[in-house]
Amino acid sequence: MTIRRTIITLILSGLALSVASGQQRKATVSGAITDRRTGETLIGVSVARRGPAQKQNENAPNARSNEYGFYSLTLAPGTHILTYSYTGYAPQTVEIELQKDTTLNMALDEASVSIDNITVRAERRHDNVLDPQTGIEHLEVRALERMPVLFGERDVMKSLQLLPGVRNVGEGSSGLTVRGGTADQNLILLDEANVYNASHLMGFFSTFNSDAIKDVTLYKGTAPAQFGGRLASVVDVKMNDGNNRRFGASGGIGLIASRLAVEGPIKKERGSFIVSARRTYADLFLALSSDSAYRGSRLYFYDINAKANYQLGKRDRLFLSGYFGRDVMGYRDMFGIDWGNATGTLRWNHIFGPRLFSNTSFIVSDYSYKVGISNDMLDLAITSRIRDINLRQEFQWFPSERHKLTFGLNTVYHTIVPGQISAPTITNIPRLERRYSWENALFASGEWRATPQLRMIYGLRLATFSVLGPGRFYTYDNQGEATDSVSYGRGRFVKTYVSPEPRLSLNYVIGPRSSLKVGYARNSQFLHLLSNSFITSPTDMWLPASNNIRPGVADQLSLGYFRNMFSDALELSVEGYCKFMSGQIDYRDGADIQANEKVEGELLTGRGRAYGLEILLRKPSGRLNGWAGYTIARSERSIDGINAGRWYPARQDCTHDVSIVANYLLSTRWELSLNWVFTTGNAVTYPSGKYNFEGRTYYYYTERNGYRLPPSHRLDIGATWYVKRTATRESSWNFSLYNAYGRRNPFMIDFRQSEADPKRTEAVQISLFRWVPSFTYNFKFR
Amino acid sequence: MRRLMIFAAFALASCEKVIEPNLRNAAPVTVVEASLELGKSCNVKLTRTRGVGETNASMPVPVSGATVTLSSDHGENDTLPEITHEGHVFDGLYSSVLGTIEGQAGREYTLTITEMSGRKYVARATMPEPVALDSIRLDNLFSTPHERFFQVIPYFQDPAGTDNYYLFEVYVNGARNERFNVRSDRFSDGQYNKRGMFVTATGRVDSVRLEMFGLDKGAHGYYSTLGDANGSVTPANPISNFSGGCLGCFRVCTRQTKMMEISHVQPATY
Repeated sequence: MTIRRTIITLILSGLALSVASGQQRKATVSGAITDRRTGETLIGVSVARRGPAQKQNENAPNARSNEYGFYSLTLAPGTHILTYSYTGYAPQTVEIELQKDTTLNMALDEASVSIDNITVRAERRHDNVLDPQTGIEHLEVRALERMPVLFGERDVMKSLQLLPGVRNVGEGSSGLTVRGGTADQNLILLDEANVYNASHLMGFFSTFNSDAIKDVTLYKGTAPAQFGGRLASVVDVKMNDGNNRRFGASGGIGLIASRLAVEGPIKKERGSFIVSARRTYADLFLALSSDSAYRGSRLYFYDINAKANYQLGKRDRLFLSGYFGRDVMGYRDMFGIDWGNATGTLRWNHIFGPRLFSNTSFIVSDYSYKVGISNDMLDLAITSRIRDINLRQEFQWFPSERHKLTFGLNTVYHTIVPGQISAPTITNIPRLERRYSWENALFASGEWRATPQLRMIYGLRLATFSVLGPGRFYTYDNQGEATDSVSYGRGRFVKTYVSPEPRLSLNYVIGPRSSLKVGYARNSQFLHLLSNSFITSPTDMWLPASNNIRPGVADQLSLGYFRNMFSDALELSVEGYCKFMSGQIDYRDGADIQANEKVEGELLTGRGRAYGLEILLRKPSGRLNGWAGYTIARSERSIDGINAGRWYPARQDCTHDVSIVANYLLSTRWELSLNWVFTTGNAVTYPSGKYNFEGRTYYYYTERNGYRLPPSHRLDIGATWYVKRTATRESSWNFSLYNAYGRRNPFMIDFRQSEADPKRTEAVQISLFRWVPSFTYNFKFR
Repeated sequence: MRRLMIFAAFALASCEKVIEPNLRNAAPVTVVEASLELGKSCNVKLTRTRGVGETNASMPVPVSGATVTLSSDHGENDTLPEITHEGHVFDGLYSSVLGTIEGQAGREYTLTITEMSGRKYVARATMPEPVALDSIRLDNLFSTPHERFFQVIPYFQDPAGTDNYYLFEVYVNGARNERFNVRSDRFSDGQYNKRGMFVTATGRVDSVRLEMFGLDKGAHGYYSTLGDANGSVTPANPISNFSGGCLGCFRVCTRQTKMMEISHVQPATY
């Protein structure tokens, strides 16, 4: 209660201050910031005012371009020197004589890559210390190109796993677990559209083609109020807009997949498009196999990203973006499964004035899978789908130099088709009902520089979730047996949950190069993923909150210390967090979740808690750059009916996690890179005994997640050779070796009777990838 | 291209290694294997769980000296004595060799086991109506140089209007298949069954035998949660139809067998 009151007081005083300061005579400089060569808008460019009497910690950016490249800075009339700076770009300084509201669009030049010139980041250096946002990680997509990766397929999600507090859900997997959360507790947004299954080929690849991506931001559970709906994190992925000056193409030919992207102006400097596509071709090798069993198999994925934008006038810009990806696995026409996501986003940016920016988005997101089994006796298909129709309105208001407000609303209509079985030869399959629900959120978030020392992001998100008819809704007893059911008509409200979610991030600057940050956030999650598999399975099912299943709620508190050292050459951050969760679900023993209309009776709910400490030491620039991260953490569950309600480690609980990422610029032609990771093994359930039953041996289990997989560690090395690098053409070879010292990392442990001595039980560790070499040829024409 | 293929194969190949996790052995628990077939008498085998690391797996630890009684909802009562031979106890086997109770369709049976320690386990199960297995058919799917994949299709008419549960065991050349198959008529009530089950065999297939058991709901629940725990996120013990905290199942069932000899004179058509 006191927290809530404090927050309300802060918001009110913040608004009062902005109004007060707005009454003085001020003028605003605003505009769009783009890349000069491509016309691509740049996100997060800092705009700093250099006053004559500038104090050191006043060095902070006074404004920052938003996700559409728009910035707004309100200043006292007079002469100002503004510096625009952005990673990898040459900073630009302009002097303006500001008397009235002025539009100043700025185009930045990409810094030419040479050894002398790689310290262009300098201007951004204080960001780490001064940004009020806690638990945030920003990924430079350009830096991904050099990292060594499995199969040479660079991957945003796998790069995120190298940051503290983030790790993969299993060897080679693109699934994330953030601060002790599960993979489904991450909100993965591609141009604002929710991507429900962000992986290809059982999780070994993510759905994101890095050619199409401009920017990736990860919030580790403390995102500002405009984001919500998942407990653990937000992965906000923004697609490239396309070059609006000239046509270009880029792509790559790799061992396992090839990619091609084409971009160009629709109308020069007014609009542009980009289309990028990729496809894997492991199946083409299978077709060459002499073994007939492999010859008939299908195993591939493809995805297409497309985006177009058009500047309608000075104040309006339209964006249309889409994603379509599909995975196909199968054997001849006997068995097949295909799944994938499709998303579409239509956006309209409107500038109401120099201080008010608006974005309206209409978003459609669809995930579906279809399993088909067909032979001369049986013809069966299982289909499942989750579809969102989403409308989002967001305003960004820049009332003063020290204050920025973001507010708006979001309304989503979810339709879930559970795994429906259909078979022409079988008539009496129960019809599983579709589930309809309506998720709403009102949000307001402010970024406020209260004093030169104190900055904050405060906000409130009011989230609601309504389960809608038509449908039959059961009630269950303690044993999970259905006791009663009620049918609701179309459009009737079955159950509504309301969840107010306060958010606060505070930054107090304690010295010229150090700060303390405190954050609190509440998040609610209304859709649960039912998964009983440790690999990402396409048939995992999303289950909405209902009259029986409550939404998950997480409260996270974090505290951080940030410091830059050695003339800003090194950035250190130490962040601790604790997180308390309710509404966590797990299965009853022996649960049957396939095609079960009473699936909610198979679930148990309980609580979760997670805490940890994350240390990151980063050297952002120089010939040798990179970072080292260490996390010590714990994530536990307590569920009535499992381990007698006692706290037990969650599967993703990971005590120690170390990652080291290094890049070294050897010459203008050669760049070397290295990753090393160490993680404690997942918590797993091992048998505590064995027995014979009807002549077969079975295992006896007593404690859930009472054991640990052995620790994993591996070194990946890579080298990039720039064959040609001119203003219009670039080509390079990337070589990498995954798991360079061939460590056998545990993927799973299988208990089985020894083949040599069938009386003995062996624990067999299955490892997947050792010494995986790969090479990719990348090119760019522009 | 060939090099690429080698790379691809190399990359996807997994490898296995035996490890020695430090396992904590739980206190032993009683395992009940109790079977009452249609028209037959009841057999019960009582053993105990052993430590995972123990090697004498072929010699299950028998539970001797228990009192085993069987009764039905038709007022029948029976005690199953422990089988001895010249005064020696055999493997915790209890059987009504001279038993008065033979399994009859539609009757509910109660099996009560009381150990010498006083621990008591009780299970109730109902004998289903028999379902006739008309015939079986083999359907060759595909072969690799090492393995042969085929399906065995049992033909039978599922009775309409009742819940039916089935368990299938496949024997190839007399050896039981590693996996059993358990089904219900949840999606196929009253249908004529043509659904097969997949079988993998190495070497030549001379004979295939299929055993079909009709179960009740409780035993179906047990078999559907038995096995396959290994490798799942949350491996758990199967759900027993016994109360009292033992493992195992009281299987009250019908049983039918069909066998097929395969002639290798003609080109194989199975």
